[in-house]
Amino acid sequence: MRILLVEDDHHLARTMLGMLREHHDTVDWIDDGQKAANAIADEHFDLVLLDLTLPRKDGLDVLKDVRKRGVPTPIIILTARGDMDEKLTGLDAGADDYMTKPFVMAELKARIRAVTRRAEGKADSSLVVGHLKLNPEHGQLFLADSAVTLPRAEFQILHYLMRHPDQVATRRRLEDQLYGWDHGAESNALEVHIHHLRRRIGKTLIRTVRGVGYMLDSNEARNADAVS
Amino acid sequence: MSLTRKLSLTVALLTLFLALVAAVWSYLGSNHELEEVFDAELAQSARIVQGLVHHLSHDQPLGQLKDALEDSLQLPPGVDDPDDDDEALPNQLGHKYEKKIAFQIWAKDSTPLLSSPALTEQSDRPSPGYAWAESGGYQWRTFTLRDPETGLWILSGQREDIRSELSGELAMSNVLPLLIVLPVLLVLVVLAIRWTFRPLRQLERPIRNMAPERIHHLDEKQAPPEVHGLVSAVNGLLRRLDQALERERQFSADAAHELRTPLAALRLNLEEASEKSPGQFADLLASVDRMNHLVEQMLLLSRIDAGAPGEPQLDSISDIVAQAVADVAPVALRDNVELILDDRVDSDRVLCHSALIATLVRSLTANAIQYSPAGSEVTLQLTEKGADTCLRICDSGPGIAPEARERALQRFVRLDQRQGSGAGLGLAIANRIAELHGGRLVLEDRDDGRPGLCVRVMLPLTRL
Repeated sequence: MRILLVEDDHHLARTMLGMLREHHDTVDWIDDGQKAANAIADEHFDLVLLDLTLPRKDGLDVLKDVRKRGVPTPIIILTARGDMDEKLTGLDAGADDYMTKPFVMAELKARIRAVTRRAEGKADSSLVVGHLKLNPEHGQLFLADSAVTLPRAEFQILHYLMRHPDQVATRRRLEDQLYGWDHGAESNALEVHIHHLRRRIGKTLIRTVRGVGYMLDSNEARNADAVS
Repeated sequence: MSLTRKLSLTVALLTLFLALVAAVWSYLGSNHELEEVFDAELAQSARIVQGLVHHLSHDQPLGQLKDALEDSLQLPPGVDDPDDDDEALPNQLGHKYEKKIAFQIWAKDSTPLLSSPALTEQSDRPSPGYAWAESGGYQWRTFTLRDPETGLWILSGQREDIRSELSGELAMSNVLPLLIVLPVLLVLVVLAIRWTFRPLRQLERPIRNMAPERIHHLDEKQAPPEVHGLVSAVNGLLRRLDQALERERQFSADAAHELRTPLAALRLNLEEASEKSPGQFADLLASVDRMNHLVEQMLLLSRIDAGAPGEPQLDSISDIVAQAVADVAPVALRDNVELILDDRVDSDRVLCHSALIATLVRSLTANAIQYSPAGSEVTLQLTEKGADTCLRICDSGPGIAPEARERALQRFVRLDQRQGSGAGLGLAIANRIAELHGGRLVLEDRDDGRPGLCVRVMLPLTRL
């Protein structure tokens, strides 16, 4: 995979180059907005990591410029500007994802994988958390050695939780997944589905925060893997 | 003293003083004119008597003269009736004041010939012209003349008290309207001054409603010419203030970039190093994360110090709080702290800065989790109390002594008994965000008397 890093801070850029190249990717580096815009348009990259504050041409302008020229290359914005507005502006201008400095390399790599997979047309979109593996195309859940086709509601819930492991999903979020925006106010259907899911994958994997929501615990998922 | 009051008082006192001067002047002036009129009248009476006496004296002896005079000067009946208020006597007989006019006549050799009863005889020799005399306990004004042909002395006199009563009443009737109009004038003056100063009070309102994030210039056209200079100076100040705030906001944005980029490099370097020798750099990574957290908090504080960004938006307070609690809940699950949200809000649509409210909830919840021992509970209760939307967060930590609670809301204050890794900015940030929504933070004890701290956030949010 060929990655272009556009970053004007040399110290940070060199560190990132070292860490990204460990994984056998080809990584090129440009520290100037104008040059970056030309390079992205003229050459083929699988992914661009774009800083926003750049000499000669602002990162957002680079983004708008290459999108106007019809370049489809996936672009992840890396920025020190942490405002919500900036983030939305960036995504509106055609960025595929957005990360705020400082970031954890593991997370950046995960985002790179997600963005490139999306760009390649989801060759294998299976989600894996610990011993859980979910195939969204067929709604199939693979446990250690067995496979079941989940009912639609349980699939929707687990799909969301597996896409956001170790994050608490509010009840509202999960209900939106299940019913869209116009669901009824009071319903304990969510509890019922969670109850069924827990019976399938193990009680401790889905944790409850009372009055708030549920979280898929990736640690528990791995531990359960070791047990089974 | 306010300008309105000063001006009202000055104008009122000046008006009062000048009106009094005018009143006294008018009183004295009309008094004096009346004296002149009375004196002329006195002289005229004397002359009438003179004509009478002149005619009589040629062919009548003195005794007859005296009788004739007494007859013609006889007072009409009813003059002495004290019950009759009417000063003009009935049947066109005359006037009450008549008895207060008296005559005396002396012969050539100063022998008194005749005298009105009211006037006792004078022993000394008469002298011509006006004079004052005293008789019967009254002060009299007299006029004496000598008839050159008969050599008789004729004196006419008027009682002073009657004269001054008349002139006093007349002068008073001149002054009275002025005295009655004066209080009305004073009230009108005060009202007029207040009305004149109304544009100044109208200028006050936009200034009162201004906040660092809502600075707009005053309308110079609306201001009266007297304060144009002041208003344009204030506008200049506002412009400079706005620029200073804008520079500060810009500094925050710049500082964010300048601090975050090297922190990113530092963190990645440490990550790389710790991959090669796992565990060795865990403390360093934790320090960098702490530093990063502190930088984020300071940047956030400097941003919200400049005011809330934009206008409040309509949002669901229940969703905001649930999502914010969800954001920090993984920490509670990791630390084995039971986190419970109790949402009792009926109408959850409110006007607020949702990103700031979320920050407030995250900040307070993270604080509560941090100070709670493993196995304990952190409870959040969202309620409506009157006009306020109220969020109460209770932990089972060491709590804060009542006397230290005020101080705990200040920046960079960490109290000894609350051990943790924060910089003491969490409560200050939450407090500032509550202030931006017109609300406040209250630190209090738990209801069940167990150790722990409850933070109550009262937000007067507009519900829709």
